[in-house]
Amino acid sequence: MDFVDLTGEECPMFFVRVMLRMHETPAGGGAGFIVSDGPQLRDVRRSAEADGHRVEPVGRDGGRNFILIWKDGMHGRAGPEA
Amino acid sequence: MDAPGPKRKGADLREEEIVRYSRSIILPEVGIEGQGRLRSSGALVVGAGGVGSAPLLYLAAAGLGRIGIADPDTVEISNLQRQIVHSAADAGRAKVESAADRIRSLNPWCDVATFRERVVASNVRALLRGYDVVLDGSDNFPTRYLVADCCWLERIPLVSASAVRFHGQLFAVTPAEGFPCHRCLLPEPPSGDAAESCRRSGVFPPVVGVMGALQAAEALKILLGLPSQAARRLIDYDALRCEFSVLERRRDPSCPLCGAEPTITAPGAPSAAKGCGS
Repeated sequence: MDFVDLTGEECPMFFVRVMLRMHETPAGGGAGFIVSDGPQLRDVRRSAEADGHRVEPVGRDGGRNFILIWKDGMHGRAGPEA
Repeated sequence: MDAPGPKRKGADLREEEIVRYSRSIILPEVGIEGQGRLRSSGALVVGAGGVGSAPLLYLAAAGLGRIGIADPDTVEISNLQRQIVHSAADAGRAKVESAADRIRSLNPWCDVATFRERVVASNVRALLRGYDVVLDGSDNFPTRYLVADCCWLERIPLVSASAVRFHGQLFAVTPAEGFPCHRCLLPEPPSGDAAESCRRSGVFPPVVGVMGALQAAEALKILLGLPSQAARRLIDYDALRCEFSVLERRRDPSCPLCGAEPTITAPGAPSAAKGCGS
């Protein structure tokens, strides 16, 4: 699975990137994102959960957090490729 | 207009558009689908004067795909007190051209059509057809009634705004079952002193901006499929008191346009009355 790197994005563009990717993701599917520690991780999580999605942390590299967002809260069977 | 740049998959919005409209896209009421809907929609603005200035700018800024502008007049220095779509360098130019240039400089993705002509019975249908919503900011009652009649007959949503002195009024007409038309409230145009123009009465500059911004908001809501409460109301703004008042409008079964036995079945000819472009 490709991870969309949001760490260089400012608000509100990182929300829009998530929205776009989730828009293109079929129901039940998941999409991967890399988000920064702190407000970006918190805000993306809140926003995705408010939209009814499920957020799953899958890794961390320094201040970079790898997360999967599952559309409509459905947890897919497949895990991240990396 | 088909500006260059890679298109995004799905939303069909280019990267530059996604960045430009990001603060609209994140609104749940707009989203990607709504932004795409705005891009594929068109609005006709009748009157590129005071009331028309704000919606022309806001519709373009919001990402509307097509904007038509109808106005026969040229820019005068005395217009610049309130007609913010024009600048001093535009004095003497056709208002439609001045406004079109301003829109293109604001949003090159917007396709602008100009109609430097007065809206009359012989051209009103052709002007309105093909647009998804009409915003009337014209400066006289005959034109207002002509445009509103035609919108109803052509089943095109209308948002009408006006301003004089320290007052502004706004209403919308959505030609759907149960909704009132403009003639349900006032079957015939006012005449005499009631039909005052701003040339004689004056107009407080921000009032046209307030009303124009409200007009843009209602038009965008209609295009997005959101309910427009202005379709059942007349909104009155009093700038001196800083108050809004709301008059509920109801369908009149004996209305000459939308009643059970309508007597108006085609757009009529407006009088030669001419105002000052609010």
